[in-house]
Amino acid sequence: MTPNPKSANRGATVLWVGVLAVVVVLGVVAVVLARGKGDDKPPIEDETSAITVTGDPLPAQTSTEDPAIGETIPTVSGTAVDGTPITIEPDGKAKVIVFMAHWCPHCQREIPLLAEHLAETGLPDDVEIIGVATNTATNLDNYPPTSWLDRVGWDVPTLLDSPESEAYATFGMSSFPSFLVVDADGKVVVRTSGELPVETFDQLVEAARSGQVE
Amino acid sequence: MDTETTTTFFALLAVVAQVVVGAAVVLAVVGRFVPAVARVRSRLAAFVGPQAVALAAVVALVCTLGSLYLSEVADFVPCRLCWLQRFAMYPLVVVLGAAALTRWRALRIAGAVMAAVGASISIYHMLIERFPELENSTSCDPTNPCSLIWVEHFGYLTIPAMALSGFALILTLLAIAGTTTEEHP
Repeated sequence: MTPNPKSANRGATVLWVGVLAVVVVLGVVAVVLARGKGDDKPPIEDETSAITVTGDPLPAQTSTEDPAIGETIPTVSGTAVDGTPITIEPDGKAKVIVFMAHWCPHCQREIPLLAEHLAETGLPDDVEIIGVATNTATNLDNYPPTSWLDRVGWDVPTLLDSPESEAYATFGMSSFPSFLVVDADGKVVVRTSGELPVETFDQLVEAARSGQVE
Repeated sequence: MDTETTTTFFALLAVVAQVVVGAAVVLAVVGRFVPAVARVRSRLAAFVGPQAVALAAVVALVCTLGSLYLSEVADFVPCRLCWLQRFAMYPLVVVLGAAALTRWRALRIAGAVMAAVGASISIYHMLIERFPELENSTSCDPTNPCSLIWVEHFGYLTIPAMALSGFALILTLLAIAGTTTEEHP
């Protein structure tokens, strides 16, 4: 049987009008669903801070031998997650500085792991653990970083980096999560990155304490 | 329209695409065993089939415009896997548009192959998002990792999940066209 061209044309018209109608309805539903969503996000100014740097920045981290080893860290000041002033400086105390980005899936796994570990063991007395919440962006996953860190129980003094991630760049880091280990003389012992088991993190704390990598 | 509204709209389109694909699969499978369902399937195929390739071309066009919106307006920087999906999706607008106009079977089949490749990359990208260690990396490159989730709607619809919905709908429409449309070899 030959299809009736008139009926076929009518069928095609009905189909295309139907598709268009569905698209229009979805557009209206999208407007309704998205209304007010995202308004509760704090502005970037609340999740970052003005950074001041004194001293020479560390050279960028490379895949070969790290040129920063033995260099003295610069002094970086800004605001901590709890709103108080915070300074990372060569002040005679060994340090492990942890760099994290709220949207990075590896950080989203590593930071809760470390938070739980540090809650169990407590912060060491002779080695300072400091966080740096960096590369913050309002349009990315898991924003704002302060809520995330609070949610996962990250109870470590943490600097809010500037919107331009100046602290991250000043310390020459190249990915996250990443770790900058500094001895009591303020000199870089090692820089490393990636998800680390807590045992390896403990080795970094020991490296900061002793000034050398085991 | 702001980015939130627009990506919600894309997510809703993706949900509709998934419903259509799911319904087509159910009709195709159940229709093999239940004659009443087979009759419904035939009627729907006869209704959609003549326009199916043109509809697939429109789906590719919407996906292309959506992808350009995300990178050029919303400033979501495409990663390496996003680009591979783009290489599969963008030419489909031309290939399927030409297939709809010429009814040349080779073009429809070429389009189906491209859509299948694109869908495979989307699935891999979704896995990278959920299991970043699959990239043999334990840290995020700040310049733009493929594991970065730019948007997520309804708890599961990320950008590659939306792309997969588009590719799957195109494949479904091309399959329907293959069963109902008269074509040139």
